[in-house]
Amino acid sequence: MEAVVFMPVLIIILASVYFVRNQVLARQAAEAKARTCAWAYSMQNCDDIPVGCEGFVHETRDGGAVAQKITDALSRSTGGIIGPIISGVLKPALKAAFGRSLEANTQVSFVRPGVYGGSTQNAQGRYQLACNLKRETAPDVAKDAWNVFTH
Amino acid sequence: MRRPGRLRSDERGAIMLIAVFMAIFLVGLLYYMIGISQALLFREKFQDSADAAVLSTAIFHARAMNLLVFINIIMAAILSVLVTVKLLETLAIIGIGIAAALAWATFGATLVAIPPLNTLRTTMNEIYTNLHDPVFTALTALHDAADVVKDVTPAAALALAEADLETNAILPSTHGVVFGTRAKQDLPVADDAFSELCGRAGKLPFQIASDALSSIPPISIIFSALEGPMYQLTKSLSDWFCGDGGSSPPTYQQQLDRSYPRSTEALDCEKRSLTGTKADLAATERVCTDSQSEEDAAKPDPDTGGCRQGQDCTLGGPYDSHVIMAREQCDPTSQPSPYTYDYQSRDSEVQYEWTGKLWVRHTPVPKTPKYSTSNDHPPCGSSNMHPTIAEGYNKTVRKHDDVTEVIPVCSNEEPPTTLFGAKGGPGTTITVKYTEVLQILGCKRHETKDIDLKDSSQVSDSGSDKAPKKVQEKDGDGNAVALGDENFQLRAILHSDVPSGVPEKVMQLALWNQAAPENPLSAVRSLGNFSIAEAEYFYDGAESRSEWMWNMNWRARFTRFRLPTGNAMSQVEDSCGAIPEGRAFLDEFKKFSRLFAH
Repeated sequence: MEAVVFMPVLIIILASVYFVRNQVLARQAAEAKARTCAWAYSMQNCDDIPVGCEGFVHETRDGGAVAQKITDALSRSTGGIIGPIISGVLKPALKAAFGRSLEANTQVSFVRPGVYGGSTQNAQGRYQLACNLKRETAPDVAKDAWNVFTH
Repeated sequence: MRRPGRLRSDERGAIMLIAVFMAIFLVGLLYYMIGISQALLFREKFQDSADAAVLSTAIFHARAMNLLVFINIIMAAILSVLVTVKLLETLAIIGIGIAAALAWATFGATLVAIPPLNTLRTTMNEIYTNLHDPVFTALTALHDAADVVKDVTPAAALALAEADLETNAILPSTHGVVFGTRAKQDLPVADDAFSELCGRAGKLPFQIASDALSSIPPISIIFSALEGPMYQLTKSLSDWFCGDGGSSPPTYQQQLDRSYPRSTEALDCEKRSLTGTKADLAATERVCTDSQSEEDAAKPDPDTGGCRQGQDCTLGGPYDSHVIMAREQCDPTSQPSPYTYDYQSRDSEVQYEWTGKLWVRHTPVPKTPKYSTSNDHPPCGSSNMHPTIAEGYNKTVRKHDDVTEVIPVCSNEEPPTTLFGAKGGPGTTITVKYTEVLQILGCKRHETKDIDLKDSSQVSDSGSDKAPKKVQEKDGDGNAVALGDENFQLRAILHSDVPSGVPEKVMQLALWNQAAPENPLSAVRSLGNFSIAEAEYFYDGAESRSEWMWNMNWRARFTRFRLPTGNAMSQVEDSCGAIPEGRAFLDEFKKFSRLFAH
């Protein structure tokens, strides 16, 4: 009789331990995956999505605030006719330089024990970072500058 | 109904009793495990926040450095327009100098090149003058823009990082600071010399041409080889090429073989070509054309070296004037000594007859004169000059107004000696052969000519408000700035109340309210509420320091967290003071900093 009562309790407790373990591991794995993909993508200047990170990372424009502050300061400091021209020319470059950030959102599935209804659940990981820079040659600079002014 | 005595002996439900305690224990263990898991996940996320914040800030700093490089390159590109125009003008001036110098050697043929070269020179000068002000205004604006980027970016990046920390905080209690330790929150760059920008502007067109023509290796190699010399030339003559002003007017020292004689018209043509303005163009062209015509008319016969048939061979005519000037200007004693001579020589024979007392010279029998050239030594001159024909140099062409009269420059005729004639007796004749130099037709000298490149229309400027940026040599405290030092370091310190209460409550429950034993690591418990990270921006290349602000190779990376020394430490203390328990954390961290393997 005790066994009939106690066994389900033990099963529930052990299932809970298993559930918590899976959930923590999944969340850690998701965070680690987000961190790894973000760092790898950032180190490649957000140009090429690293292998295994497809669909997890994407570029954002979160750093625009820095560009805006510099643009405002430029507008104040450079007067005359040339001032607005220089600001106009540098504004896209500033946006390109400071607006490039990335966000990594990952999901790792883990199994919910049958006693809790079964099925799978997802743990999510998230990481935000600015895009790092890569070495550029003079032609690369010219190409980037061209892209900045044409897009 | 069951009696109490039997209850003690009744073993039914004993397992249940143990099971209840075990269940309570297991539930407690589960609760403890959840607490530890939460703490672990929180710590990871907490550290990620610090890492991401400090690396993003370092990346923004690196991007700002690259932006300054970009501005430097744009400034050089704009200035290269002026330099290219000035380079064309310079080549025209040098071409005019060479054409004028070779005028006599080529019998005026090179003078043909002077008018178009002069047109090119004045046109380029006019373009330069028109472009100068807009280009310099743009350079000043870009310099101001670079100053703004230098001053504003660090503060903006740090503020953004701290705002993000607050916004994305895992717990409301999270506070953080991201900071650098420079006394002034700016980038470690300073104004470079304007001549450096000028040098880069001179190099840039060749660099671009070399890259653009990389598919044609020979041409690409030539352009590539010219990059260095052009950089040195335009940097050292930045006053001339970029008009940044200087202590002395620039001159171009030209090594050339200059031909003589030079007529007044030829000298006037050269002078006007080098210094004249666009308004003088027509007059200059007229003078040069006249000079060229005169040179052509004075051209000697290529076989005899005399005046050509059909030309004006009268007294004072072009040929006559030419030989008179040549004899005067090609004097071997003049400096620098002429080394190549064109001259008219003539072989002759003359008979001497012994009268018993002296030798009588009969009328010479001359042969046809010929055009001769002497490369190493003059045909006539003093003995120490080792003349090829004879000693002596007669500078006078004639004594009377008779165009046919020519007094030779020198002659190697040697009359017979008295002793020799005495042996043969009176009436004895002897034939003496000799060579004489009739006319000097021209000569060449190695000359170093200073071509004054100073132009009255040039606008001088100190250049300080148009200078490109370079990495600082010394910081505000006078310490040398080097990659990897404090000037490039950024740190993040985050504080939050880490949810560590759950395990503690469980432990307290297990102790049944007994006093908890002293935790040997309790002193470091407070450090668990903090997350630290450090990153730096750096130049990712093997180039020398002078190249750091001319290549977009600035990047960011994590570095091991360490506390600075000296004045930078006060900046850390100030920053830590901005977050809860920051000062206490710093004191504790100093004690355990050696244990941290961050």
